[in-house]
Amino acid sequence: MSDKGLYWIAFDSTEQHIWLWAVVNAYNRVVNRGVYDDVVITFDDSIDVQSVKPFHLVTLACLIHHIDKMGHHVYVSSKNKNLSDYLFNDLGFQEYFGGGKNYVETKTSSNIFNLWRIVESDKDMYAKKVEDYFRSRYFHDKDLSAISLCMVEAYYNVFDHAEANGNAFSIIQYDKASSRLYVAISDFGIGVAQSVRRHNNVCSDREAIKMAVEDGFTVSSTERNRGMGLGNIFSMTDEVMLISNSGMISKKHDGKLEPVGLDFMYPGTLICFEIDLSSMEDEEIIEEFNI
Amino acid sequence: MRKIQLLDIMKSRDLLSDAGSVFYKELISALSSSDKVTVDMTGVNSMPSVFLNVSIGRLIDEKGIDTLRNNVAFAMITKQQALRLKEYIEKYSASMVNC
Repeated sequence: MSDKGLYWIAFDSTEQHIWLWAVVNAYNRVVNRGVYDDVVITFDDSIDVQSVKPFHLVTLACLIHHIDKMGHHVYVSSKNKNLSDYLFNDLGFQEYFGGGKNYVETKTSSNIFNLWRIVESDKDMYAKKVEDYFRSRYFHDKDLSAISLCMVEAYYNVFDHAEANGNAFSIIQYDKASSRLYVAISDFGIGVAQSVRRHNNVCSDREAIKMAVEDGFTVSSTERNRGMGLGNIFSMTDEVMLISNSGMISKKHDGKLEPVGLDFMYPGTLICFEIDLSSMEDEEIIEEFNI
Repeated sequence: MRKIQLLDIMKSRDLLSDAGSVFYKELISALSSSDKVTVDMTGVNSMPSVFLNVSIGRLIDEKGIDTLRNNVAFAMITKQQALRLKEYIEKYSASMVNC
């Protein structure tokens, strides 16, 4: 480490609100610091690797990318050895930031489709790759098109609205016991809520997010936008949560959408969704279909 | 009757939105020759909204939904794709009415 100042970022819990607060707090303090320091990320001993989910990993990746781009050196403390082993020896975190890679195969975890830095040129291919992976490994005859469709919709949302400048990541985890797919996508861009508020007179990020997921609503940032993308994700998934700036909207099993205001400002957009692959229908081909 | 192999179009461009524009041009070309169109969906995984907006959506904008219904059919389409396409067209048409 250098002789410059040492700045610590502590993650004490994987509880969603506490974790996001730590991310946001670190983001804000690094932005305001203005001095090139060594930044050490530390995880409490109580954090078990099993409790680290996709949303933890993508938000951590966005934070590290941000700190790195601010010119600081980022280190992860080995205090929680299991977790640091998982991040570096299994998921290969260092290769994304030190090594500049966009995708790295996991070393041991077979249920993770590893962190991917969302690159515009590869997004369609990547989504297809994920679907093919699950079709070939687990569900040969099922119609899994919802997987790639949701991911493509989310990736296009990043590129059409986020202005994230390369700070966007996704990761997928499969739980074989429950046959559930967990997907998390995060960017540190302007945020869906702010994007909506730029073009509409809306009083809060909570209301802006609610508008954003309504079918037919669009800020028309590109010719290809007609306001169907986020709505598609919400309709095709079992559970979904979208956090952007100071707003959050979630859908639970009952299908009800619940927008809420947050007590922090997430510096971008975070989408997490679950798909129950066992409930997917068998693929059925219709020879001729008239609309 | 003109047949369009959609997979060939989707593979012809790196971006789905560009492929959607190609699809739109093929549809318009066929319809301007008064040909009915069958879109062969063999091998197609899914049609995200960015693809549909610049193809089917644009066709609806410019020619109306009846032109689409009366002249375009889909072959070898999965049940889920068919349901989503139908839902897309209904939502798109509804959003046009609300504008």
